[in-house]
Amino acid sequence: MKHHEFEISQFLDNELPIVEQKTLFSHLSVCDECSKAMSDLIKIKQGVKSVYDEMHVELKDYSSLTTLLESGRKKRNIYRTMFYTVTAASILLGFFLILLEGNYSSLENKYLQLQSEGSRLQDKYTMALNENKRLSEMNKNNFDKMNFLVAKYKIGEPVTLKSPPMKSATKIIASSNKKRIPTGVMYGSLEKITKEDFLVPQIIGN
Amino acid sequence: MNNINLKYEEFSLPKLYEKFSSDIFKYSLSILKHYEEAQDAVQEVFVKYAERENSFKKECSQKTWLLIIARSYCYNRLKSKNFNNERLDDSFIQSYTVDFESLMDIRNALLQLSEEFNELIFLKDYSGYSYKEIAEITELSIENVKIKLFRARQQLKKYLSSEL
Repeated sequence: MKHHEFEISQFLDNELPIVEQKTLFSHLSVCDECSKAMSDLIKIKQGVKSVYDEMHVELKDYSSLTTLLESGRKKRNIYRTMFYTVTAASILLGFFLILLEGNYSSLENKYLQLQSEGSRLQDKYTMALNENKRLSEMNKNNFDKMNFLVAKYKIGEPVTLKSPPMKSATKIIASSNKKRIPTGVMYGSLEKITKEDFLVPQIIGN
Repeated sequence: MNNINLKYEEFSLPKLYEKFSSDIFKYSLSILKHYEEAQDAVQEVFVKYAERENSFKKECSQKTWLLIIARSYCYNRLKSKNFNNERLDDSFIQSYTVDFESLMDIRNALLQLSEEFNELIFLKDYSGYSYKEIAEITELSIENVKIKLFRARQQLKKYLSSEL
């Protein structure tokens, strides 16, 4: 025979549906074991209630609770103040960072501008340097040609130049003699001609 | 216009304390099984209630709300490292004004039950809550409440077999 202790537990808790109650009662009338189980559970339920009813409860009075509540409230106020302070500080910091970001970008633009200006000047300098190199090269060639001429023609003798080696060099020779020399003919009275007499001033690029 | 749909009477905090502190204590004791810890639990539960009073949505009674807070506090307390595990302390034994032998046996049997079974027995047999209300408080299903209560009683019966 199937026993109904689970249903008895529900019945005593007043939670067993009426239909099932009828089945339970008809079972209890024929089952001694379940009747005993029911009386045991009733005893236990009553015993449990008595245990808690008879329990001596010693609690602190409400005033102690108000003290606790007051201290809790103070603590919460402190936390709230801290929260608002931190929030305000965060907002200010945010604004500051945004402003800083604006300044930074203008500085960055300025830096980029200067950088491009710098590279432009660098290019110009390189160009001038190249030009200077080219002119130095040219000057050196002229100087070599003058050296060749000085070695070739004796000083004091009339020199007939079919074509002057260089216009600028001819001018220098002419100005050092303080005489005007017809083109293609040089009458020299210089005892000695030095390299400096033929040097063309170097042009250094700007 | 008076709100006639109010399901229950609403109490102020002092009134709540006066009315339910004892029940909260007993409920906490059923879980914690420690007299002083249960005393502290009552204070903590009412402090927490006062702090969260505004968030109370009135879907259940104030007592049920208090029990839910108490339950949460007690189980957290059980998990905490500094919980006093000396459960069978003298103060608990002295907590009975009537020294019936049978009551002592039942009390000892209750102490042997797990926290969960003890809690369910308290909510049903002492507080008289319905399965539905117990399910709300303990966050169990109604079927689970039924089965667990039955098992708790079977265990109690086993511990008290010599007395019955």
